[in-house]
Amino acid sequence: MQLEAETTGDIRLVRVMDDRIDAASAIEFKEAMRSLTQGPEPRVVLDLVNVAFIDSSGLGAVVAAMKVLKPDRNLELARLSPTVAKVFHLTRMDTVFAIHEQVPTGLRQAG
Amino acid sequence: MMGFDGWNDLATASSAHARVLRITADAPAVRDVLSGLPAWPPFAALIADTRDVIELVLAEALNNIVEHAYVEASGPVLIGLDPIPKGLIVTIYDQGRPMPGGHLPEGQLRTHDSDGELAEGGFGWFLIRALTTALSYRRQGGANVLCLRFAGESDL
Repeated sequence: MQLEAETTGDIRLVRVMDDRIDAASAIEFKEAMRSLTQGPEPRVVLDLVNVAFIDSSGLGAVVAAMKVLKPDRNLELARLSPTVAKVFHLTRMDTVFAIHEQVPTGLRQAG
Repeated sequence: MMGFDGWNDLATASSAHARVLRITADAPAVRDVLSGLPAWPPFAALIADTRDVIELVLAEALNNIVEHAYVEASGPVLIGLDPIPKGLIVTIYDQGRPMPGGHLPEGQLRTHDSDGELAEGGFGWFLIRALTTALSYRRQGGANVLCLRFAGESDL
């Protein structure tokens, strides 16, 4: 599970480089997220532009990553493919995360 | 690949499918099954929404076998594929533990667990039920047999 992370302003941006978050990679994803989001940035944005497939294990791993950041920070999502967005929508998990069509620039307040 | 000599009845039954895949139940093998589907012309001919639905539901059903049917050690899984107009019937055979109670889980959507926390799991059966047009389960000859039908336009 390859993640890349950078800090821009008040945002820690983490981009998934794999094209799926699934049962085979969910645990790795959680561990990588935890190690990449230990910094002080108040916002964490997960860029899913490369992710074409997510199953319930991957969904659970994203939820788990959000819980790790609580209570001080929220996990925001960006650039969900239509397929991935449908999984979040079906399970109502799209109501739990702020979801951005583009990666936020960090100059605006969190939605 | 594992032999299936202990599955005499099922080996006969599985030969009735248009295509049969045989794997050992683990996460990498599940990925291989899913990535291999587009190379099969009847699958490639389906519309993208239907292919996406099948991939997701198969991932959920096979992951359930990996995690719950074969708990202590891995085991063999047979996957029978049968095209239908604009869709597919998938029959999955495993020799793992029976479904609790001998029937499929209800698969109600539960967004929060019993502590009121957001759920990290339990979405699988909800997705399977939501995205199949029919499904059935039976025990046969010491095996679980799960039949999934994907017909026509998907619900995605």
